[in-house]
Amino acid sequence: MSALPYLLAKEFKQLFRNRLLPVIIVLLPVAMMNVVPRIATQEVRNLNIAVVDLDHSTLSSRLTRKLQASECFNLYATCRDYGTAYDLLEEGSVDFIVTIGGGFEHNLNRSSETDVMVSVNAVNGMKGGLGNSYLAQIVTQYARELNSEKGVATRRPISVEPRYLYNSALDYKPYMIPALMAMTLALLVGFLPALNVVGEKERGTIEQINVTPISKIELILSKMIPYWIIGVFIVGFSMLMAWQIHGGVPAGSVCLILLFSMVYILTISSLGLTVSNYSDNMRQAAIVMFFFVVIFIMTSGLISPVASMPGWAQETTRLNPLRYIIAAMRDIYLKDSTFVQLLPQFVPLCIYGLAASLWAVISFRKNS
Amino acid sequence: MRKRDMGQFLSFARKEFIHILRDPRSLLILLVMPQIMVVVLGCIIKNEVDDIRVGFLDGSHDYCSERLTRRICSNKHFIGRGEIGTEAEAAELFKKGEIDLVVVYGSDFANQMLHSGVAKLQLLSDGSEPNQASVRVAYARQIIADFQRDMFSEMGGGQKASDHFEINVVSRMLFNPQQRSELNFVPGVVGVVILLICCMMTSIAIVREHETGTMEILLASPLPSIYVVMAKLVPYLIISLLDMATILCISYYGMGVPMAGSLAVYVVTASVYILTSLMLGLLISTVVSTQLAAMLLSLLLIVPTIYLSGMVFAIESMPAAAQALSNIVPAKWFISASRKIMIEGVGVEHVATEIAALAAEGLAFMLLAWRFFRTRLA
Amino acid sequence: MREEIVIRAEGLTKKFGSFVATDHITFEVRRGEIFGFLGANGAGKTTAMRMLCGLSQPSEGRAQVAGYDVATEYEQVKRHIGYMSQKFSLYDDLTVEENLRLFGGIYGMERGRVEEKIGELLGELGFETGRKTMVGSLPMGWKQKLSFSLAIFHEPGIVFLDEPTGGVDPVTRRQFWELIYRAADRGITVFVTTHYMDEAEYCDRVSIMVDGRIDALGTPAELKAQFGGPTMYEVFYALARTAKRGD
Repeated sequence: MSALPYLLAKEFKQLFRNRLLPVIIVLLPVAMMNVVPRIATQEVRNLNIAVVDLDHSTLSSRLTRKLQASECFNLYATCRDYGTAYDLLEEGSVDFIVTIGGGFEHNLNRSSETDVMVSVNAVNGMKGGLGNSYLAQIVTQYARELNSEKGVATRRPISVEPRYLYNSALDYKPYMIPALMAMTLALLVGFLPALNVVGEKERGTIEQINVTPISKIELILSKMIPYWIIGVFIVGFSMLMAWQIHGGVPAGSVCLILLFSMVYILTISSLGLTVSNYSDNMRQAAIVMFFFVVIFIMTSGLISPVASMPGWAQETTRLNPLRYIIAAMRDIYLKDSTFVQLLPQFVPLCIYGLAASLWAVISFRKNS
Repeated sequence: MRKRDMGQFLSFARKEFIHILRDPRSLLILLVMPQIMVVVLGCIIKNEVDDIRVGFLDGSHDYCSERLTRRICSNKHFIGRGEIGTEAEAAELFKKGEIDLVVVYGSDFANQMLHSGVAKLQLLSDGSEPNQASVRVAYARQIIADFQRDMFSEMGGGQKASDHFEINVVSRMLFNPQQRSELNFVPGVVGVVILLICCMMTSIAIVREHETGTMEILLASPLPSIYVVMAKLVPYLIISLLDMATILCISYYGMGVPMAGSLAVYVVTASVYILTSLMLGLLISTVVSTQLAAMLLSLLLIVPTIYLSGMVFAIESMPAAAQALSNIVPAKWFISASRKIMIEGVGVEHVATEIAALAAEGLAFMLLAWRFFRTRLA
Repeated sequence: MREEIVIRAEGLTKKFGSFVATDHITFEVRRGEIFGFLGANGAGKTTAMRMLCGLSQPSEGRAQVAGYDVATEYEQVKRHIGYMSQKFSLYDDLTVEENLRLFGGIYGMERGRVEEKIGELLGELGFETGRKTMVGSLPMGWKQKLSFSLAIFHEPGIVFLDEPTGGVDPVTRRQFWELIYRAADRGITVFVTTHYMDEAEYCDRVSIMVDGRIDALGTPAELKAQFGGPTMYEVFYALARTAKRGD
């Protein structure tokens, strides 16, 4: 292992002398921690609605005002007829049309029962469904209000009290931030090693190294350790930013986060090196790595929950190292899960890391 | 373009084709990867809430609580995970990620419900993912409400008091009545995949020629340099159009994504989008000098394209600044237009804004690229 | 001592699919010799050299370098040789001394010894001022001389040079050969490929490869007598035009 310090010094010098890499290593986490958590929200709010009030009564306009006052809806327009409102829906300005039919007040006063028509743009099923149930809640609330004004109590023998554990504000930020750290790592410590060895192949410098008696393990270690250090730096830096900018601190142990990160970095950078070993040029390496990283990111539960995937897909995601790290990071950040509770994530991640690093060493060829 | 120039232009384009054909691995990737990505991601990116693992903390164990438990477990959205002894045990299960929802019955549940009318019931939902948490609670609430109504009608108390106001909400889910999430996500995935492929491929191809020095030879030819560059784009344009066509077939026949609107309008939109993406690739190639840098820049495009395009994260929920920023992401316009055309089936007048925005961006990218290209040659 | 064989190839062959790049070549190189390995482009020189350096596995035949088999003991081979590839392969983004220090370290040389040698080497080249220059900004001639110095930096017994003087001016070429002679004087065996026939005259013995085979082997004087040409150029031309393989 006598050559390792020299090789490491070389890798670091090359890294810091590059004009682009150090900037990206700092800027990407800044963007991912600062900007993305504000954007990456699937919160259902600011939903645009159009109200078609055909009744023009006191009770109907009171309902309109109720909708207007709601936090999650934004009254975009009140339309004279359904056709006009439907045009708004087609051009994408509104996603919900609430139609209060003529006779709304009349029916209520006579038979105590009446209908409100809601048309939902359900292209985004989650948004449509949740929005619809919020609308229904507002309308029910309104009915209850009318009842209590009349002195009639609504009969609800079961009082349901929902409690949202670990994220009582139902805020997307604490959910996304730990996952975004894993994504930042995938982009940086996954891609940079993938381009490293193949870059040396293209420039021809790897030949000069291959003709030396240096061991494969030493060489791969010299390629891996820098990314390990960079990765740990990124995790620390990201946690600091998350804390400073969004006030989010992990509920669980920081040491546990670092432990998981280190195994994960080993995995992802080994995969990068393996891709690099098999590629003839940078273009190939980049495309293959791109393919894997995009699939990994999309199927990891980062942007859509693993539990919503079809059964076969859930099984397939067991092959995705990002799935384990994201689940673990979220659980540590939000639920204060302990090491023992996270063993189901830790064990596969370790197996993956070991396999990937072995593969990286084996696939590197000093002699063809 | 004079006739001789045209001939040269075509021979340059042919040369670029040969480059790609000689590298079967890259070609395979170009012609297969986008389709695989669309299929895999289209099947996987979903957010329906199903298979909710629900546990019960029942201190009463009476007629009503057990009946409600059975009712929840038999619902198609829920998977019963049995009885839980204590809150601590529930917390452990939550932390291990083995349960999603816990129903906690108040003491003396049946008695309270049937006589004093204030039976307490708590729903503990893992709030990590807020929407999933809300939907779980909404489903459970629905079952509980139905349960109450049935209990009342059984007890003969079902007649509504005539003075009791009730407003029913009658909902129509337009365009996607089953709320299938692939209808929302597939057009988005297509937009993201196409943009990234186009950008990365063209920028790398052009920078590669700069790096190997062959660009100088090409530019020394009598053909105006703009044609030299455009000739490099031709094969990628053709490949992208091929990709787009196959993806469309796969999503229509294989994944049941409809084409509610006009196919012609979609083709026009897609072509404009591909051209804009190629121009973005061209622009990237003019501002960097190495393949590595071209790759890194194209790669960094992943971030805004995933997050700001509206593919997964609805644009109207974002802060105003981010909403404004999303306007420069080409994928946003394409995704919005393709959802409207494919799923909603709106006419061309409703997507005119999107097409115009895409075209304007493409033009802007081209002009910028041309400007940088000239300063580089000078 | 002069007769000790340090490179021995017997029927050494490399096939890429159906293409036979190097076709059963057999030769020996003695210690301290400057051995010229000639051949037209595509004759199979680089392929043969890469096998001898332990970078590539032979398909058939065997070869020993410094007493080790290139097919099985290639890591041992690598301990005893230096190699300068056709393509310039030092790190452009490291300085001259950083490159030297890196390879000194890789060969397990002691730190003090490395510093000492860097001083010696730069003195010998007359290049003390270039010590902290980025290698990427050096002119071609300096890069070549530096690559050579690096190839023999760890004091190997044998050094392989693949077209070391391609693309440099005649003055630098002359200086380069002075470096080669100096190395040979110190007992290093030099195995060199070249396209320049005047350089072939500088070698102790030369072989000429045509279509993957060695068609001629001997001292320059012997070959000139055998093929009846006044210079190596005629000898080479007479052999090379029989080649079937194009470029």
